Amino acid sequence: MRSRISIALFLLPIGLLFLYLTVGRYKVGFQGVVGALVGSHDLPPTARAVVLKVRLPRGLEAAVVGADLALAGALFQGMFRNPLVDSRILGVSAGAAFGAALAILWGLPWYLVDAVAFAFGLGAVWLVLFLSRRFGGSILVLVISGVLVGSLFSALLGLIKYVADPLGVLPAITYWLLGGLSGARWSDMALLLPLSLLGGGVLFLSRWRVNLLSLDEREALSLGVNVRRCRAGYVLLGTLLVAAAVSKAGIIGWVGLITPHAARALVGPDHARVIPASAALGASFLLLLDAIARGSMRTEIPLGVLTGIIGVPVFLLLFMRLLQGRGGWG
Amino acid sequence: MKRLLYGLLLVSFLGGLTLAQGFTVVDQVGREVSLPVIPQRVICTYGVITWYLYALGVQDRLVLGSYIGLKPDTPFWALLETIDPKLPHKAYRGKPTVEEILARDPDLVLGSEVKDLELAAALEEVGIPTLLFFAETPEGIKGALSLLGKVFGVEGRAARLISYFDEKTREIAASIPSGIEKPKVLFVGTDPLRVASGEMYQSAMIELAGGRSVTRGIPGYWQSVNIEQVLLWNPDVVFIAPYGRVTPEDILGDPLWADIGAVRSGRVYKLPRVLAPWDIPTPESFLGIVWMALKLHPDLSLDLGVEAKRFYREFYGLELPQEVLADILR
Amino acid sequence: MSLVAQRLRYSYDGRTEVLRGVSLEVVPGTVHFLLGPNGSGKTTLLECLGGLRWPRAGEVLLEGRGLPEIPQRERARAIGYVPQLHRPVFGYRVLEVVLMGRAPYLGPLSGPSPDDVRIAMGALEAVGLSGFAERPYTELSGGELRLVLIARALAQGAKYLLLDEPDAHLDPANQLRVLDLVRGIVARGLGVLITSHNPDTALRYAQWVTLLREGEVTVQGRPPEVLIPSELRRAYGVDYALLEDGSGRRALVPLREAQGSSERRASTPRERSVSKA
Repeated sequence: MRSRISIALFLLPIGLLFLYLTVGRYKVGFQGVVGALVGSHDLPPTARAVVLKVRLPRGLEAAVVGADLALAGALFQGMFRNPLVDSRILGVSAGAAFGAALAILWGLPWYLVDAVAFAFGLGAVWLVLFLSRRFGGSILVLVISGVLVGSLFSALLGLIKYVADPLGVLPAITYWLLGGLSGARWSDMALLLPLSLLGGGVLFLSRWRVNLLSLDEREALSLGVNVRRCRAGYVLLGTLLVAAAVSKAGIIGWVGLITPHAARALVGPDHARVIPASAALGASFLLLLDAIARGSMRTEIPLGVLTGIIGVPVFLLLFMRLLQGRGGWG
Repeated sequence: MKRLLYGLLLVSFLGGLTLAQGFTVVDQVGREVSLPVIPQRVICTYGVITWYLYALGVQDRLVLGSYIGLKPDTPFWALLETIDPKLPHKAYRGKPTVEEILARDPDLVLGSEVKDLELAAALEEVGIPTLLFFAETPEGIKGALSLLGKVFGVEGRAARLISYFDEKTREIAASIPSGIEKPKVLFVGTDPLRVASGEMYQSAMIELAGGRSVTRGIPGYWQSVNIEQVLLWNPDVVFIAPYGRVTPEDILGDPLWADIGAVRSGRVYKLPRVLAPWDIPTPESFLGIVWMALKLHPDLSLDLGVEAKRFYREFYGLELPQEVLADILR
Repeated sequence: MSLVAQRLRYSYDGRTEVLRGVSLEVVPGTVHFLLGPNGSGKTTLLECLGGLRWPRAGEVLLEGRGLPEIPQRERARAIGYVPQLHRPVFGYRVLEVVLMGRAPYLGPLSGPSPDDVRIAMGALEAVGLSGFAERPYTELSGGELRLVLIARALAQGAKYLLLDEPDAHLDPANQLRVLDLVRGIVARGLGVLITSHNPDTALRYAQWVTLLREGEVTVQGRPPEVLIPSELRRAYGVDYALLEDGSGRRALVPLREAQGSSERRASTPRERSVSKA
């Protein structure tokens, strides 16, 4: 039973990716997708380009971003022992958003905008760690620092939006912030993939240890865990994942909050299983949503908006289950 | 003799009273506003309408204005300064407070239907009349022009501007042979995938210029689309807004756009700009329509250079410098 | 070879001292009870012994070596700690909880091996809960939960167990269960230190007793010498009576505290009804 769920979870994003390649405004169809993937030349070149150069990189990006956010969410929920934690809790997203807005304000080319966003995302968390270290380093302090730093960067972002030229700069900033993968291309992978593999890989190898961090600090210490160092290390990993995702896809919330709950409901609360399950479910979730975002109307629906619209009711459902005591929580 | 003198005094007094009573106008929101005198100190918070005052030659009565799309240290600013040396004292960014407005002691405030309803109410309390404008369509532009003409006593000039518009659009429509398919046109803004909706003025300009806007039927403001949708539309011509950092080379050189008709025939153009951007609904946009028409139907018998020189000389008192002219005719 | 605390001093805020030069020893194969009123410093002392807090003065020696010199993982392989309160956050299965005891043997990038699982199951058997392995531990009773945590400490391979009030919040049956288990563990050579509020329990289970009051040891020694009313009054400020039945079984029973209350009890219902009339 357990291994059957694991296999299903592993195959789910792969299957969804294939389905993702078949939907879209430009009609390609099942056989077209297969043909494009195997390199057949019977297909009109435009259709082939759409599958291989438009949909495939974007689908992979959606899967990776979804997995990154879900992994960070699962990690943070375990570390902070709180079911209501999202990947945005440490202020990474707010920092990255500010960085992107600043870069756009300065008129930097698009590839530098993402890099600056990533840098500021990391910087925000560095600030959070610095603050929390100065004031004791407990989980409460960490969370409060995260909220403060996040609010600070949000306020600064508001300032940038106020002074930005409403004709050229402000729309560009708003466009970036709404969250979306509409400009996805293969070159995006150059930054996104290595960072995600690094963060995700290390997290995957050390996933069992998250269980220990979910214990009371004294118990974890007694089990030989260097809690401060472990926590800092995991914060860094989570930040890497979120910053990479946000710098490519803008602000996308709720994925990090909901997916771990769904994972726990399927495979139980052991983080050794929750973490890979979250990655699979997060990738699948975002693939589904992005297919809707890009294929349902002539214009793009911002991904951040879709995750919110679908996220809130799903979250309410999960929350009610939580209150009833089901779903892997104490 | 004394009686005659008194009589004259009485008559002139009564006459003065009638004159001082001023007149009532109806603004573009339908509000009846009485203006005691011909306004001499005007504040304009609607970034679009400010530009109208220059076309009507009444810029010296402007004491404070918001100029959409205008930034210091740009050639457009410098050019505007040549016909309005007091520009640095007038231009402001952001949202002015009621106190700021009162400090300038205006006798008339021009605002936007969308944003300034509350401001109008507040100013009414202190006895300052406000006129609200809606100038985002050709009819709106013409209505704004005639209203401003009446308010400032320059009805003749306003009428000439309106008939210029009517004349040119008639000429264009007449020159296009009936029965031919109008070229499909896409208007993009600060990102190649950020397009002007069918409801925006840019789409109206395209239709008046003898083209067909591919975003016809899409509501709203700027919208994000993905490349698949653009491939589906397959526009024959792409126009780029004069603000923002997108250049024709960005689109012509992008491999994902290679299969689009406009790219294959090289018909990707960036709108010119002299004072205000030519796609903003100001009188300068009349030239924008002419420019578009020439791009869409190159054998049209209109000379843009001649039209532009005449337009700016007659309505703005501006002699176009050589470089600006060359830029328009690129 | 033992776990020794020497003249430990500790204060939380730098002003009031919670421990004022406390020394005690946990010897393998014995049950050592640490008694004292609330606020006497029992939990703090326990935490210092476990390396969870660092004393301001004095030292803790694990088999002759100072705790600070021993790497944290090595300490965790020798000393197990079971807290008084454990608030479950996730509904882990019982086996998963016990498996966490294998943490000191696992690197940061690895998880438990089948051997670790085997050891964890062995620990569960030792506490008599092997049938509970697959159940979410949030469904257990207070006593069963306590046993699971003890199993976790056993899975650590610990030689010394520090149990903070293991019988607290438990009904008599569960209390006995836990304490009998402790006796069994000690028989296998582990040294156990238990904090408790129950001198009576100490009488029955301890081989060594320390009485603590306001951060200082009032008396230490074997139960018959220490658990006598005069010492208990000194430590707790409460009068105990030591009762014996003929067969050698003894019990400590607290007497009533204030003198005044016994006189009030003397007024009978009859007297009250008379006054009403």
